[in-house]
Amino acid sequence: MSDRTTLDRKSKIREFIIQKLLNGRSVADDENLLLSGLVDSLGVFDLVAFLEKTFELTIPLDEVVLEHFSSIDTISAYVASKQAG
Amino acid sequence: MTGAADDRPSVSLSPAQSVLWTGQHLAPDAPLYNMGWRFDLHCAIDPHRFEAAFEAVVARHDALRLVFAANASGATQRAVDQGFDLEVVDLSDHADPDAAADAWIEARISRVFDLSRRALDCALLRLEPENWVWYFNQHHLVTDGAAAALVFSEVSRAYEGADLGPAPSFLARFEAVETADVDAARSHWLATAETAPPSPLYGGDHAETPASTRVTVDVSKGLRDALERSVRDPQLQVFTPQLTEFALLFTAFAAYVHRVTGDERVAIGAPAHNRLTPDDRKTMGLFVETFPVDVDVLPSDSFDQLFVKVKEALAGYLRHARPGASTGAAAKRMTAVFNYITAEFGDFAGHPARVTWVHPKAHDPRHGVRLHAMRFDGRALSLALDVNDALASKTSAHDIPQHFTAMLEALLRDRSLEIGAVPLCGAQDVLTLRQVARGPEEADAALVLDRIAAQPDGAVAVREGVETLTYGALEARVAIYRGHLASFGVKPGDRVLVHAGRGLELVPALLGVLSLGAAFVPVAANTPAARVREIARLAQVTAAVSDGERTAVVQAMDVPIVPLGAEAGPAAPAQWPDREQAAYVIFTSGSTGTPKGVEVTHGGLARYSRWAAKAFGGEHPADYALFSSLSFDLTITSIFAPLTTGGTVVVYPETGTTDLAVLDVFADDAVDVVKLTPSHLSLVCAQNTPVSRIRSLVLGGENLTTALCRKAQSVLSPEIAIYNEYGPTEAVVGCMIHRFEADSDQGTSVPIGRPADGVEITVRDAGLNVVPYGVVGEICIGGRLARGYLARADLTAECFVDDPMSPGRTIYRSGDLGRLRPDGVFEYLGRADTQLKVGGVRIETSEIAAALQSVAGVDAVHIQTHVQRSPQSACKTCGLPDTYPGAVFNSDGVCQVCEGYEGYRSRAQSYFQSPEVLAEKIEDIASKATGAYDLIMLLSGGKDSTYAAYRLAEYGKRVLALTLDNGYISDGAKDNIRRVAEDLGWDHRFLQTDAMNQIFVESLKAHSNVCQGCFKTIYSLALRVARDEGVAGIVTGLSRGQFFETRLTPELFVDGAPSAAEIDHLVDAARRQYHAQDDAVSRLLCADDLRDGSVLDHVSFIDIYRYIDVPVSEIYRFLGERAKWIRPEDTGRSTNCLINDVGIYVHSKREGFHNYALPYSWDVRLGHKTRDEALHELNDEIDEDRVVQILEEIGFDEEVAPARPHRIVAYVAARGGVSTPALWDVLRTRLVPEALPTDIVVIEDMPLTANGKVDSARLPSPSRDRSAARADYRAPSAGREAVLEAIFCEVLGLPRVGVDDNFYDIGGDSLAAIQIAIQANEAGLGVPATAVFEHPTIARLAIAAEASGTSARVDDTPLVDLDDDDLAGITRALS
Repeated sequence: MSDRTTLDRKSKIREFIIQKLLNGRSVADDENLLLSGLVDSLGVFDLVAFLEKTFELTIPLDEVVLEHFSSIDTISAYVASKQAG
Repeated sequence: MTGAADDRPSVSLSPAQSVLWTGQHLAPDAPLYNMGWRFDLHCAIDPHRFEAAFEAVVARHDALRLVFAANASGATQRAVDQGFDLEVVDLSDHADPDAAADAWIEARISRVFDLSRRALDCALLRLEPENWVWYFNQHHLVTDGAAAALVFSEVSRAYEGADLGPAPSFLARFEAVETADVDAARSHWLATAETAPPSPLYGGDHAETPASTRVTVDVSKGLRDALERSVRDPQLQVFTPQLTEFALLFTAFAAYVHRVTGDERVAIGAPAHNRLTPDDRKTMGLFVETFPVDVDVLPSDSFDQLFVKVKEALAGYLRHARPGASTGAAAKRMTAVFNYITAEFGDFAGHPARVTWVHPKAHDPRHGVRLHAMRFDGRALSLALDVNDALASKTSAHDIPQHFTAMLEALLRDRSLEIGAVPLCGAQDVLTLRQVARGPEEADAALVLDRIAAQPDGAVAVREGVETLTYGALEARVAIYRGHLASFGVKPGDRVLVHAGRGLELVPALLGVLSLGAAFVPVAANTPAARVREIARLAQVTAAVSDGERTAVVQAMDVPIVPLGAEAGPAAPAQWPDREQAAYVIFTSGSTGTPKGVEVTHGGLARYSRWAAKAFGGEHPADYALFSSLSFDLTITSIFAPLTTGGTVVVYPETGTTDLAVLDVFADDAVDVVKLTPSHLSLVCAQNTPVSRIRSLVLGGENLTTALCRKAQSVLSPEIAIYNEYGPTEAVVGCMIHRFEADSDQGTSVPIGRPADGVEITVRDAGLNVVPYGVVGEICIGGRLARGYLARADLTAECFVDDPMSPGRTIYRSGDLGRLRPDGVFEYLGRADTQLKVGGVRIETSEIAAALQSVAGVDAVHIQTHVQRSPQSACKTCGLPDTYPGAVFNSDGVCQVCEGYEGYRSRAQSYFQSPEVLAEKIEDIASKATGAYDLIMLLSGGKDSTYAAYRLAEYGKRVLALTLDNGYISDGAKDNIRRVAEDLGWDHRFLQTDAMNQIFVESLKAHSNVCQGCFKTIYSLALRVARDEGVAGIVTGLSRGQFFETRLTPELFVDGAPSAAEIDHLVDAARRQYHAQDDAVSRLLCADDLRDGSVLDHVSFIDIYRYIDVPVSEIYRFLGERAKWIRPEDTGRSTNCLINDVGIYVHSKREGFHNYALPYSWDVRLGHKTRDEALHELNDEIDEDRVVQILEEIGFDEEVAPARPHRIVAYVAARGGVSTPALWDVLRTRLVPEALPTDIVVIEDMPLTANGKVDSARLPSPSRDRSAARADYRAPSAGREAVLEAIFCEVLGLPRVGVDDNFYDIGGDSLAAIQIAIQANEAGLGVPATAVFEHPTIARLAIAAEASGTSARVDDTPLVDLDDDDLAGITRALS
């Protein structure tokens, strides 16, 4: 998998989070979105819906967990693992 | 004024708004959606500046200026420009300005908005110069919690003069919702909405009023700390700490809702805030939408288990809680709401403020309760419950929060606790409930003999027809029986069997036993001999009293007998009975088949009799009818209530095998009180004859419907008093009573009322804690109980338990479900072990009954339920799963088949014969051979038939081996068969038919298995080969288990031991009928040549294992060492047949249990399999893909799965007939689809047990292909045919039977065939017991009867089915 794909994926995720969930507020890729309260549980499922549509994935409920959705980095890694699988 | 939105067009409502609009529309005068706030501002306020600030905020947000216009499809909304005159109220003159503010707000908030003009209200209340209250209220259509906080902070900032910047528009926001996502989410919610409607909380009618009360839930410091600890517990982490707290509180709430509804699936509404972006958070208006969180809760769940389910449910909820996805359908299902609110209000203009959310004293009536968990401004969590006023009646109003906190405390204390056993009630609650639970106090009742002795000598005590006994004469007769019994050594504490028909002398005989301080064991006249013997054995009776007809039976028991009507003999003094000793022992048919004897004490009898006399006869002398079964404790009332008050026992003797004395009682109309079962009453009402003397009916033994009471009052007498008496035998006949009142008893069932004197009734949960008003639980009885079960300490300990709420006191666990209404009346809700739940919601089958009962021409209704579920347990001995129909386990976990087998295994041995007999049979058959073979052997290739083949080979005969190749025999098995035949030097043929696949399909449709079709094919084809080859005998390898499963059934041995010849005769007759039957398989095989049975005159069957008994280990050893047999590896289980799985799959799906459940249990019982092996095979995974593939191959075209996982059969007795479509129409208009029965079966009369209850074991089962093969209807002619038709109808439970209808086609089985023969004999038609097998239609049977030279006895007595026990006696007629 090329770096370019990774960058592309991450930027799509970042754009959604910043534009849709944070209204333009900037956020670091490794910043914790959940514990900081920036994104709440409803927001996460909004994000889940976005990821499923954008990356043509099916995300089972039992994978919607803290370690996959805490930051842009972890979300991107999770999406990568789903695409690889 | 800024923002010119007036010109904006009207827009339709958002889905969330539509749900609210509808809700408001349903309760137009209730302020149920007023979202009011009291903000206490602790500073000086300038009202003008405040007004300006408020107006500025209103002007910038369209949501604050919305008005609504109703239209045909709901409403539209638009934002208008309008000024706002702030109302300023000065309350500072009031003595208590704070209280004055509360009062002002309470009045103000109950105003309903005129939504066409304005949806908000605002006022300033001056309490003190530096203490103001800002009152702010909006209709929920335009706001939510977050919006209110936004109003507060914006007004605060505007008041300070801050620039608020641009404001986002509410109306523009919801136009931006992405519809594709929403549609998907909405279809999810619509799909989940298709389920049974939930039960109301506390059994209340909260849908009737929106009025509600908000109650603060006290959260102690300890509880708060425990919650915080749990939120931090790493094991409980869900996503965010907030969500963890939400999930924990939700778990406690779901458990609570489950407990107070009884539903095993709860749908709790949870508002989703739906402000996903920072922009949303700056937008006013309604964003919140409430979606249901569906959770399955079982009483046996621990909190840990429930927490896991809640987490899953929340994830599903969050995923589909998309803005705009609300639907009215989803909203309807929520009977409770959990509202978790966090909001930041902050200071007001730099000064401290306090926020209070004001309850408008109303909420959506669909919600019984709403729990609010609130964190405002980061303050500590506070909890409040809005309780619908219909639930808040009586004491439970303020107890309800306690019920929830009990759950929360238990959850936080120990998550391993069982939810069904958590005590809900607080100490005060329990005190109140127990007060209600207690019947009036009673002093010690005088013993019945003392009370009888106190009656005037000249009054009539007992009367039968014209014969009477005065109290004086009674006393003398009692002394005579006492003398005889004492001379036989009967002493206090002994037991005496009383087995006699009802007659004048019965009463003094019973009293004679009592007068020795002994106990009578009453057994009705029509009880089969075997059962009488069993009871006498279990009761270890010292002596017996019996009448002429019964003496022979009793004589065989080796106990001394006092004949009824005995002459005076030796005298004996009366013994003063010990109150704690037994006065009688009544045996009830334990569900396991072994009768259990309930020991009732002299004290218990005395107390019951006094209460009953008072309750039913007002303590005046009253005459009662003695007409019911002596074995049934209902009859106790009819003997002792009259005698202890100076009334008369009027005796009605048995009317014949079918005891219809109850009809004589009402025709005679010569008593004051009749105690009877509802089934008896239905029968009586069907006679349509009014009564004038009978003034009170006491109903017991079964659930009583109000419909039947109304009918009784209209048919019998409008003045007749109807008492519903509830009570198990274990609580001495009756312990609760309710007098039916036509005006107030509007439910479907008559309540069971209030506790009797000295009795305490409580409704308890799984932990035996008293449950709150309205909550369903087990009825537990204390105060007046039987001693227990005679010589059954285990069973006694199980049912008579120490009351954990008052240690030292015994309560009886009835196994009945009930609830306590707030008015102190108890309701009976059926047996705990037969309750039916659909989608987790209990179905009230009494509603089906009530609906059917309302149809003209319906005499009686009985609802039978069968629930399909996965097996929970299996018999400890044989592994029979509890899903097997009718499987009942005793307290040791042993099934009734095992118990029954233990009882007759030795008697069944007579069927098995010696190898010498086998040798003779083989020689005999071989000698009749006319062709190339002596014998035919059916060789399936399995272990049993292979071993049998080797044993048969020992006889050195010329054998032709046959195997049915059904197209799915495994290759391994075929190889075995060929090798074995070759090894034995036998010829072998595979039999085939082109119709095999069709036979499979027909077999699956008719029997849900493939084996039935295969068997008939094998037998039919093999018979033809035998005929064509001139062979006189076919040898089978049927196992001993198969003998027991199909031939040596328990019914055959209930009373006696039929000889081998008798069983052979039955088997032969059944075999002839089997081949005569024109079913689908016969037609597919063109088997007309076999139908007349002539082949069977020449070909007989030899089942080899009838003569040899070999342990299975020996079979395997032999096959392994000596035979050319290799266990097939390619079938995956112990079968040779690859289509077997299809049968198992279809049977499990359609019938709800494994079709090998019973055969395997026999294998285990006979030691041919271990229990573990059987269970392992029953639990084998089925390859569903392969099954589907085979179903396609054979052309099976039906849906495999049943439409519903349960089966409700409604039996309707209608003597005059009734149209089934009309019954369906009534049900469809009155019931929700989930509660509709699966089948309606119309029968002429309801079969009753000897005790007068519906005999569910004898109701016909609705057969799928019952009408399929029915011949054209031809009515019976008068005489024999008419008599036979009546018998067929009665036995088979059919409204009519054509004279050419084949017995088997209309649902008959071998047991029914014997029954018909017996009844035909009773009606004077001399036919042998197996006649129906030989002459399976009415027309043919009538001819057969004519040939025997008998004529029908014309009898216009309506036929009622024989009781269970009579059935058992059938085999006696065979011997």
